[in-house]
Amino acid sequence: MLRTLKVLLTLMAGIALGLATTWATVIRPNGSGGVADGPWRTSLAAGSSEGGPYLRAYVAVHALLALSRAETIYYNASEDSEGHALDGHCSYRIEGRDPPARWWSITAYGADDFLIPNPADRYSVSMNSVARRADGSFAATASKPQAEANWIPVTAGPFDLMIRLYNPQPDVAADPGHLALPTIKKVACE
Amino acid sequence: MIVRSWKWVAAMLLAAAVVHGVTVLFLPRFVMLRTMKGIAKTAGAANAILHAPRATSRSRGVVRPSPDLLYSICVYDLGATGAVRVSTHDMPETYWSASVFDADTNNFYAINDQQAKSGAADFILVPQGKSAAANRLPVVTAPTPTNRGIVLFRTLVNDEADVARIDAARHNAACAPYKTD
Repeated sequence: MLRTLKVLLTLMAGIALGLATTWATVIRPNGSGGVADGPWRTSLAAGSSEGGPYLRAYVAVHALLALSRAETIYYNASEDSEGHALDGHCSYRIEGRDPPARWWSITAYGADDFLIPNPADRYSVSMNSVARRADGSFAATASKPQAEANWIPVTAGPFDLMIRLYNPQPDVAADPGHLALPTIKKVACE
Repeated sequence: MIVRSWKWVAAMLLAAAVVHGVTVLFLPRFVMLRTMKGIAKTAGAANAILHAPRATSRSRGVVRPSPDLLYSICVYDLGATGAVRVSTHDMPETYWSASVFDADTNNFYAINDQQAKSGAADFILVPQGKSAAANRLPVVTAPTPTNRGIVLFRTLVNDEADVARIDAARHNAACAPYKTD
């Protein structure tokens, strides 16, 4: 009887530990891994059969139906350029130049991996919609209060930003850590 | 006593390793099966296209949708039909692509507007081992281990003033059972 109880408890503890480690390594979003370009990170194997089981599981949970790098390369930022976690209680200035791709966008997602509800129904800025300065650069704002231009609304709580590079130029895959992607700087907090 | 305790700890760690390995390995298949079930239910069947409405914060079909793209999607089932024809025509002059994913989430084929030319794409999806050399249409072979997966059309809204026309044109995308020659 005691032995049966021990076997059951051992199994239950093993199952719990196994599920917890899967949660910690795959299901819980994290900003580590892949190649970094400033606060942005990418994995060139995402969406392809080259990725190992951990990347494939991560993509299934957080980026299902991601295209392989020949078509699109995705970068994520869950921290600002100073290394602090993005938080909707604060406003951020996203500043840079057009990334080297046929088309690009920057989109905000909530911790649940879906678009963030907001009264304006705005979720992104893109190559087509962004307002540029005279020198071609741009500055977007991720914030809860409405910004004058290039506003990406967020709400209180953790969020992350994703850059999509559709039909990226060949040098993106060749050197994904040196694109000089936009900086993300905290402006103010509530 | 210590040796006996270590045996239980080792057994617990072994169970944890097995559970961890199995869940990591099968998570992609599980997520895809659940997603395919939802898509086929909404589309009415497998091998039928679903033109999803533009993504908003209320969209819950697939994680991380782009609000700048229009998605048309179908579940292919080669086991039921032997082959599936994927096609579109008269697509708008913007970025669009048709991509195919296996049941383990791998994107094993994609064609975009610049590769397709003339705003059209037309190919047949067949399972491994099926000869389709005599077909007049290009053939794409779906990898094992399953005969099911997802075809996803993405169409970029590059001009908000033109969204109605772009949306109408992307409705030309189709998936349908196909009888090979």
